[in-house]
Parts: sequence; structure tokens; C-alpha cells
Amino acid sequence: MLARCVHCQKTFDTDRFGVQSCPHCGQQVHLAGPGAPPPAPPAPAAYPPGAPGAAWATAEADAPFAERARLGWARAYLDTWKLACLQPSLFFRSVKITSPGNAVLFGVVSMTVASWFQTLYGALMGAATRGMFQEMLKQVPQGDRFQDTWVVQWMAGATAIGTVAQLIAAPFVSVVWIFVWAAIYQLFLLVLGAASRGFEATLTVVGYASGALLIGAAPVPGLANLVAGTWFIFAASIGFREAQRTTNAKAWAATSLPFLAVCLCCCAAAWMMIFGLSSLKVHGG
Amino acid sequence: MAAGRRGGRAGIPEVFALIGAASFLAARFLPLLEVHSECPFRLATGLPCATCGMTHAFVALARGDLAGAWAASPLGAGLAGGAWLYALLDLARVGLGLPWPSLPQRAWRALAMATLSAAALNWAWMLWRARMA
Repeated sequence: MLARCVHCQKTFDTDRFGVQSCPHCGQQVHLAGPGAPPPAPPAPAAYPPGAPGAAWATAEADAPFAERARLGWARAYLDTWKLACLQPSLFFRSVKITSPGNAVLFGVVSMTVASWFQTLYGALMGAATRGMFQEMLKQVPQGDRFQDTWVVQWMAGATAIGTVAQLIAAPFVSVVWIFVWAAIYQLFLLVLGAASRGFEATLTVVGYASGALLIGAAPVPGLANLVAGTWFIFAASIGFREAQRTTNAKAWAATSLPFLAVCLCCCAAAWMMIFGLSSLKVHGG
Repeated sequence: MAAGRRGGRAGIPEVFALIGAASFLAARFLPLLEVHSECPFRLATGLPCATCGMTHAFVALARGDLAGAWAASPLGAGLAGGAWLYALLDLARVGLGLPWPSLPQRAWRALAMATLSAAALNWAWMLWRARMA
């Protein structure tokens, strides 16, 4: 007969009832025989109060974010964020993949908020740079001629119109980002033979894993994005493994290969910066 | 990829069609090439990266310059043409009320392999051309 482990949710074949070890996770499983008394109620799951609870883990269920009308936006978002980013294995194993719209909306909200904060930091830093540059221009003969020209705006790094455009474009760019990256991951999953549950599962994973990108809203430009990106890769890799019911190796390969290409460019940029700095040192010394 | 229209709401194929259409509008009407951004890989190595020339290919094709698009990036030209054709076909499909064609998993896998192979070939071609230049 086919049994399902209550710990890892994987199925295995067995020919007896009673207590036995799960061949996948090694945990003790009690298989009640026919006529046996009903098992004791399961221990409370470690889900946040608003989440559907233990029943959510044993069968496929909607994410708390899909129940935002009942739970409220803030609570539904927070509960889903905690599950997707802190317990990705448990979450993606059981989350329903038939409503990827909720996942996309979750990802769009996360990325948009992060983008708005980054735009704000950029504008603040730009304003500081602009003030400093204007002060410098006052010290230079005929420097006043350059006040309020495009040169000053360029030095500030952003114009007011550019900032507003970034704020408005953020949700649209987020939607495109989620769909395009889901398509890229799906390509690799298909090639690796790890897309058994289709594009909807991939899109669901990318959407909910994009919640990690909210970390980019932290006031540490650069570092926050690096942490957010790394966290996203971890959450998405675990998510692909669970949602597509595939192996660790295939899930990590599908997630890593596209990023390797990006990393190649980033490494080249880092190498250039190091090379540039060392050149400055040589010239300076 | 088998999601179509459900209950009159846009599904996954329609969102991709919208993205394709938006990419045409952006390439045709936005001054994308005036935003100067040098590829770090090209700057460091002198060689193009796998996606170099994509923006130029999209912009050139949106302006009807097929040769220019091909010269910028054959994959970019193919991707742009494919995306815009897909947007038109999906619009027609929705207009005619036809269902999204259901392809077997094997066909999707073959398509994915063909796409990745095309990307690899495109990069090899770009590298070879850069060496010859």
C-alpha cells in the first residue's frame, strides 16, 4: 500500500501498519490499521496565527495572501512573507499552483515597495550631491552659469521627472520582471526535465519567492539588494524543488544557470573596478 | 503554459502577449538607445556578452531595419520578431475566441532546448564576429 509521511509529505510503499521509519526523511511514522482508533489530533503547527494552520501543511492550500479579503492585506502579506521566505520548503510543497495571479500580485507588491524605497534613497542622495555640487560651482569663476542646468541635474543622478517616472513604472516593471524570469527559469526546468507541474508552478514560485526582494527596501543601498537577490535565489531554488516535485540538483541548476550569466557580467564589472582602483593607486603613488 | 482565459480574465498567454506588445512600443517610441549603458563584460574583456546587441536589435526591427537588427544580434532580431508575432497571433486568438493550443510536455521541452541552443549559437557567432573584426 501507499503511505504518506506526515513529516516530509513524501509517499512510500509499505506492506504493514504500525510504527515505522519513513525511507525519505527517517522520521517515525505511525500507520494506523483498519479499525484502529482515530489518531490523536496533530500538534499545533508553527504557522503564524493568521495562516490556515496544520491543515495547510498536509494538503494543498491557498497561501494566506490569497485570503487577504478575510485576513486583511497587512496580515495576509506578512504571514505569506514569513512562510515563503523563512519556511520555503514547507510553503512551496503545499501551496496551490492553480492561482498564480495571487503569487504574481504578492511579488509585484514586494518589488514595488522595494523599488519605491530605492528611488527615495536615490532621490535623497541625489539631492545631497546636487547641493554639494552647487556649492562647488559658487566657488568657481562663472560657475553660476551652470546652476540649474542639465549638468547639475545629471550630477544629482536623477531629475524630478525621472524619479516620478520610476515610481510610476515600478509596478509595471515588476510584472514584466516576474513573468520574464519565470519564463527563463521554465526554459531551464524544461531542459532539465524538472517541470512536471508546468509553468503555473514556476510562476507561483517566482511570484512568492520575489517577496524576498522586499529586503531591498532596507536603507543600505547595494548591500540590501545583494542580500535580497541571494535570498530570492535560495527561496526560488527550494521552491522549484518542492513545487515541481524535482530533485535538489535540478532545482539549483535551473536557478543558478541564468544567474551565472548575470554573475559573469557582474564579476567582469567588479574586476574592472578593482583594476581601475589599482591603476589609480599606481598613478597616485 | 496551458493557462488560457478563465472566467473572462486575462491568463498567462495574454500577459505575455501584452509584454510582447509593450516591448514593440518601447522599442519604437522610447529613446532607448540614448540611454548609454556599456556592457561590463564587453568593457572588461572586449568581447560581447550573450545578450549584447539585444536592445539595438529590438529598436532596429521596430523601425523596419531588418538588416540592422540582424547585424546587432540575430537572436535579438528573432526574439523581437517572435514576441511581436506572438502578440498579434494571441490577439487574434482571443478575438476569435479560440482556446490556447495545448502542447505536450515533450514539445515544450524540445522548444526550450531549441531556444537555449539558439542562444548559445548566437553568442558563439557574436564572439566569432568580434574576433574577426
